[in-house]
Amino acid sequence: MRLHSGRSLIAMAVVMGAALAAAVLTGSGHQLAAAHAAGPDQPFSPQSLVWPTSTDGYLLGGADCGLTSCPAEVLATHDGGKTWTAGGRMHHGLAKSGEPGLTSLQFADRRFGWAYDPFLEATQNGGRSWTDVPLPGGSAKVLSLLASADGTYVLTSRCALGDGVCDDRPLDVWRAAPGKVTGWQRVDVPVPATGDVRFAANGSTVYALVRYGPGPGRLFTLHRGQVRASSTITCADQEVAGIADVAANGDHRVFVLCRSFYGQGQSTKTVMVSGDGGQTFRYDAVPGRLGLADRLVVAPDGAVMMSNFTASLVYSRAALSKSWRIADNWLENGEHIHDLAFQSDTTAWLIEGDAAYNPDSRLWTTHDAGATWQLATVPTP
Amino acid sequence: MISLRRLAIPLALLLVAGGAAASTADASETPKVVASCDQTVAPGTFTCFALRRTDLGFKSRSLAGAPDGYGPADLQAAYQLPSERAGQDRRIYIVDAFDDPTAESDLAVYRQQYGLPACTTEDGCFQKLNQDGASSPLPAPSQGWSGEISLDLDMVSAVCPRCGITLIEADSPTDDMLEAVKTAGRLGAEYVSLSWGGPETGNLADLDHTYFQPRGVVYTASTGDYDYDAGTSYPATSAATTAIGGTSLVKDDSTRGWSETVWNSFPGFGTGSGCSAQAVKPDWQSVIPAAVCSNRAVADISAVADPSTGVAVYQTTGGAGWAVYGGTSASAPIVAAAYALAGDPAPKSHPASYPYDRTDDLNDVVEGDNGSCSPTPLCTAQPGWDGPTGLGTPIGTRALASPAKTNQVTVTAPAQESSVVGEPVRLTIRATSSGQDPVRYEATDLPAGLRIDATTGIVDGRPTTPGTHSVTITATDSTGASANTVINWVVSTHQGSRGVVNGDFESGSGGWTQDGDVIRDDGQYAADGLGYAWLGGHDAAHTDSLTQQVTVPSEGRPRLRFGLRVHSDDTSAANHDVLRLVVDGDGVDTFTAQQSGPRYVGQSVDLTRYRGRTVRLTWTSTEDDSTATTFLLDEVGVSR
Repeated sequence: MRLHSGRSLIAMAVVMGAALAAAVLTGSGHQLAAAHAAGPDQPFSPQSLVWPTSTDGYLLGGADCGLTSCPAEVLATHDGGKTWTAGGRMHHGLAKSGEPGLTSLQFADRRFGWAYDPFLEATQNGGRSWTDVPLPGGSAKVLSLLASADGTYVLTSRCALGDGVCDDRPLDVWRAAPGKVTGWQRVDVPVPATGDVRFAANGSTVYALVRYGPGPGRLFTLHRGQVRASSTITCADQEVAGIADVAANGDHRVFVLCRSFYGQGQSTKTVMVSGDGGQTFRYDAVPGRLGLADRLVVAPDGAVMMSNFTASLVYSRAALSKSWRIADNWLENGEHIHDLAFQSDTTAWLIEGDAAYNPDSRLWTTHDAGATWQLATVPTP
Repeated sequence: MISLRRLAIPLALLLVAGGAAASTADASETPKVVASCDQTVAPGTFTCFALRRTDLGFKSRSLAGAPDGYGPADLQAAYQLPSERAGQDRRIYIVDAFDDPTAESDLAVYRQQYGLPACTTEDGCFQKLNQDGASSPLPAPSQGWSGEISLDLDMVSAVCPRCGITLIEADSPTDDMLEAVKTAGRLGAEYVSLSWGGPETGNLADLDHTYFQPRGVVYTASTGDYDYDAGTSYPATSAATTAIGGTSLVKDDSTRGWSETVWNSFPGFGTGSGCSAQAVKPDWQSVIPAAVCSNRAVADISAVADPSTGVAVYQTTGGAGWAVYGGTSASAPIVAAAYALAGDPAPKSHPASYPYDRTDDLNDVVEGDNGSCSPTPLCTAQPGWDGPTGLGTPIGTRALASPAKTNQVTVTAPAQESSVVGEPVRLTIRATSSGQDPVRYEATDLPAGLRIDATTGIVDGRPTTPGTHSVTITATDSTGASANTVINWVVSTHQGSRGVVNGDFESGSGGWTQDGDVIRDDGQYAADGLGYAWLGGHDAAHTDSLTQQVTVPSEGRPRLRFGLRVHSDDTSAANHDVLRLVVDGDGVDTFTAQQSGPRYVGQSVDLTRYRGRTVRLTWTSTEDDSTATTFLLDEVGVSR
């Protein structure tokens, strides 16, 4: 299954703006906020979810969030989500509005994981205790991260917390060996100050897709921090397209999500599929213009899902099917849906709302690879 | 010269934003057009000159009745072209940007609609290449440029139905397009259509020298769609190209039966023209007074381009069926194809000069303008040369024929060739020159491990890698006269060559004809390797098919063997989705959704009754609009 990667602050800003736009589009944003405010207090607000194996899952959230603080905590399951246990508290809380704080979670296996963006914390005991990790090379913040069997890859910026793009100095990609929190080595993947990176992994092969804004991107195939291959990634309708995300689910099998002709909350979406590590692609058009394509996840059996911002939709295509489906459970709420992740070939999860801004963020699950979704009970720490 | 009366009242055109198609319009509505390509052209980039009528929208293939817009018979009649009898052994090259993934299938619909002979990869007529001259990898698809590509393919088909067509797709509308032009020259092209252009920037003489080689090649280049005021466009202003302007073409009761005026339908839209700021005046334009233009002047000649009197085009990428197009992107391929009907250009000649020696064989367009200018001939029609329409439009092909007698070179090679990795290959290409001159051979995109002997034309070696190649063989005699031919060359693996070509689908789509999106190379559902065929998988009524012609062994008890995996979420008797296997029209087996399973299952079909015959094997999936059923094929072979 795909391990979800982190978000950049830039992307967050886009998402927040997009969520607002969606609320305006649906005209229901205020109603929803009122409904949430009137609901029962929720002791744990989910923020980020990962499944390093089909039985081992980790959920980052805010515990007893108040107006000024939102302590971060990780819950763990080792029975596929039937029961959850609380881990230790993190050094940093979740981001409150306008303040820096943790937003994302990654685990390489059932013991070793990271909470990050913009800070960096690590656990080596399945989340029971956390270590605040200095950023490599004097970087100021983590923009995205991948925890994989090939080690940990991070994209960092030297711009201070709270700053977006502060100068024209390039961003840096670093790698630490599997299970290690020190010994970072710079990876030869050039990323301009205004660019960013989406990561994906299959086994010990890591893909770093550098996005430069509109136009082609560059895909780097990495192993042990070394560039094994690179290729230009060109979306369909390149002149009006941008790359959204990358995923991988087999030897040399890479998927890239593109959006084109975007505007007014709509985009033309294309999933590119390569069987040769990104050297050549076929282009599968996705029917449906609503939503700006954001995240792409692919199950080992070939099932594909993508989430959108500006319209909270999940597009999915089942394994062994050429037809796409659309789930719109979240459309009227206008909340940002994120952290779309497969647990198994058919079971997947996502989170509706950002815990830092909405203590009633919600957990959703599907058991038919995205065709239907059900609200899941938020685990109690 | 023939004077033309202006009979048509140009219909106003209005540029509409975006690509959304309007529904079929009332005839009294104002025609509207949209440019197929992004018209924001920075220095060093190019745009296409295709304009689509949005007020007419797209018409489904299934709708009864003839498509709107002029078809092949209209164009052939309007320009008195010998399309029925000329063009054999000629090949027209079209250079565009990005990939049109449905180019070949859309072209098939157009040609079938008008009764033109088929032009496919399989029969060696159609060839699609990247800018390096190889059949893969192709550039990313583009909805906008796909409209341009459809227009180009349909126009050369309409005018020269017997010509081969090579579509070269550049990676982007930048200097990549000039690289593609250079590749066309390297492949031995004689006729190249360039329906695009950009600002005159950089050293044009250097560009000409670098990309437009050799001489003696017809390059037809559109002058643009935005009137005289838009300025001149390169490569139309290149001395290497024939600059093609645009007209409004209407049927009338004149002797000719048609009349033409300058295309200028609406302010801002009309054929381009002008005097180059950089390009030196070529000798053959001495007919144009220096006081009018002391440099290269455009256009040289013209053809229909007005979307109000536009042409029928079939397009499904970025479109949804039949549309009506115009723009000088229509006139450039029309004239390129007319040149092909006229015969071989003379080596080292300037084909743009031919019409200047045969103005009696052109319809002189004498009415209309494309703006206001001084000197007025640059933007106003007049007897003789004028900027908007050049010397006029073709009457037959004599004005486009080389005045010099040239040798005729003929190349003979199979349209299809199949080999196996590691096994020896020896193929003799034969070429003759009418001047009895010796010829030299060149080949592009040969499978790795093979080489061609430049003097004997023998291709030999052992291919090293499975794949499908579009090989161009060029033969050139000592006078520079040349000809080429295309071989679709499939190199199969050992596993995939058991009585069929590419039976394991590890060589791309070579050897197979697919109707629908069938052959995959991502390994996701392959029995082995990366390649497999996927029929079905739609939760709507749909049909896919896969075909190969094979020769059944004449001895023993030959059997067709293949791996089949069926998958459906509905395996009840209510699911009527099926896969039928047909051999030469005989239904020999049927597979159903009830055979769903988690893995491939070996199948075996007795072919004894077909021993010694060449037969067509066809698998066809048929799905209704309920649950999808997938049929996966792999490891196809015919055993003794």
